[in-house]
Amino acid sequence: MKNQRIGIPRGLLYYSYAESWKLFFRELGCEVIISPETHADILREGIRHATGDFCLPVKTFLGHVALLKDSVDLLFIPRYVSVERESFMCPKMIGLPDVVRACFTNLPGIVDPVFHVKQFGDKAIHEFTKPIAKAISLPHPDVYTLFKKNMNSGAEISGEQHRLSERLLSEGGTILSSHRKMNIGIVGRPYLLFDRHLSKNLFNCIRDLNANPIFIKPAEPDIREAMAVIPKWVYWDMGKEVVTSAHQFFKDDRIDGVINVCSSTCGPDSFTGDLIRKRLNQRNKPYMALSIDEHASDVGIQTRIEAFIDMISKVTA
Amino acid sequence: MRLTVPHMGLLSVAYTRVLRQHGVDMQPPPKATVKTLNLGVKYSPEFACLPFKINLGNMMEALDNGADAILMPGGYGPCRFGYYGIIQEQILREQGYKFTMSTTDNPDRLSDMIDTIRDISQIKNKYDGYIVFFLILMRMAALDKATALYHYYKPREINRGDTDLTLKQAIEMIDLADSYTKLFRTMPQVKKMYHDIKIDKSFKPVTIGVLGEIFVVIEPFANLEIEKKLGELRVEVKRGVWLSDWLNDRFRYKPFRRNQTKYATKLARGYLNFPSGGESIETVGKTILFQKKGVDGVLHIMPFTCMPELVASAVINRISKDKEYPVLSMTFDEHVSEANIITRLEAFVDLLERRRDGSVSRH
Repeated sequence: MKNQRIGIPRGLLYYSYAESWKLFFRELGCEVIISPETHADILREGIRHATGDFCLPVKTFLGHVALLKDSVDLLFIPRYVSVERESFMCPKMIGLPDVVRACFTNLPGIVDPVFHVKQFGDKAIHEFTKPIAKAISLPHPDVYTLFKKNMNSGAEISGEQHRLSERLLSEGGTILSSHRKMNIGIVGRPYLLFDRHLSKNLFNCIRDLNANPIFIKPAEPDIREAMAVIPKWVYWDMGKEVVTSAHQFFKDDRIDGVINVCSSTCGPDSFTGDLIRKRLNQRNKPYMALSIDEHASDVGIQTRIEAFIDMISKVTA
Repeated sequence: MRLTVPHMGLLSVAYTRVLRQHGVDMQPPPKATVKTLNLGVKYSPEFACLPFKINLGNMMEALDNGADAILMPGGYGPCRFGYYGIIQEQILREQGYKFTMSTTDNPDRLSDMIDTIRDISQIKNKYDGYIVFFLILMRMAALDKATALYHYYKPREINRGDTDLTLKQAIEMIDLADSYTKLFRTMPQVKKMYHDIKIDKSFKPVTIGVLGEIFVVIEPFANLEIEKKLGELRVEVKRGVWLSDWLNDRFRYKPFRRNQTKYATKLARGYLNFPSGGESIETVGKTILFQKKGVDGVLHIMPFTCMPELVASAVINRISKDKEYPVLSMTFDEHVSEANIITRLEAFVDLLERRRDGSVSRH
């Protein structure tokens, strides 16, 4: 059955895998509908539907689901359990489809394929595409081949900020320091950083203060290197990336300071934050943990960043 | 080497005496008090969960009392528990404590457990290691049995406090039973002791299933003795999470008891289709089980910011709506007050009583 409208909520793993999902469904002949960028109403709606003390990104995700659910035939909420052999996603991400089902009534069909490399190994993609093929009534081998083809084509979302940072960093220190005074390394989860509403437009805010925000997506060898520094490897996928990029920033002389953005009740971040501050920051580089929840205001965030940058320039001057 | 292990319910009662016999210099932490909690809270990351904070407090007090080695279970879950030891060691070192810390990263594997026992004690023979380990498991099962009896007798007792005293005595008796023979002789005595309590046989108490994160459920200090409080409100507690069940799922020492996790996974299908770490699947599955079995309501308790239980709490909220079944979720952290807990429990019990008598409509 072609021409189905597939809804993808713009939240959580969207910011890591959306490009490949979009390509994949378009090539399958489906119409892909993506919810708009987060704004205050979406967040409010999400908070209304959420039960208990879910973290801010999960609440936002529920808001996106609320916005999409009546205008699509199927909702695509994959269950990413592990994307590598030795790590897990956060439990809230693992339970996400069930949480969505629990928080709403009158939902359209939900496609929730399981991506679990730790359990299925090489057959993970095979298992992942099975329910998708079933939901849109296409033969499984075709869906499988297509997903495999698209998986690595632009697999990570390269938001404009991300691309810019990467270019800046690869061009070396000369350009970096030519027209802006300092470089601030940003670590955090993509779904928090690149959601402009949640991160209060952090990147622009830093640019306005005449500093370069730098975000890097760590590569495999970097992760291995960083994990060797700490006594036990971090078994959360994103936590691992957070720790690794912090490690990279701390040892890079071109970076003047590091900001760790996390949502305030994030479980893994409460531990990795401690690890970063105490274990990795051996050179005592300026470091700030910025925790965000639904009560955070633009001005509050701006003030803290201003103070942080001010502090660095006083120290280095 | 004076070894300490953080408290978790009655677990330390099960192993301390046995391991001491085999040459381990055990120094269990003092019982958790407000001071323990304050110590833990002071040095923990702000949003760490309650078990982490209590564990840390336990370790600090034990080290202050002269212990110099810590054994901490680990693991590689999606839950934060597997990473406790690393962060705790880092915090303790920063505070200037001198100690050695060993984390057993694979608490699920029998041979690893036996190796741990052989490492720390004078037992060098693998076979003897098994014998000792299974004795500890049996003692744990006996302690859980005594607690289950407590749950039955407490709401029915005529003289207030009799059952509490009996539980205390039962724990002491099981603690003294340091061989298989003694343990098998002790259990009938424990049962007889409970049997001798004067109870009101005609009284049919309201029943509440207690579920949630395992540490908060089994550690009376963490949940402000919620089971005792329920007993005093004349409620029969049906606990869904037992340490002996958790151990049995892994080590199969009670061959005829079915694997509780697998059973819960089966029951939870349709609501939670994939275990999302911790006790989430047990919570969901057993909520459905309790509903089917006619338990009057479910009390779901968890630490603040516990990730797996948050998922479970959203899901059992839906079950509660779908099946018109009363469910109360409560979060515990260092700010929880006794009065708050009692008020909410009283209101919940009141609701269940009225619901049972039919004086409250189901809608």
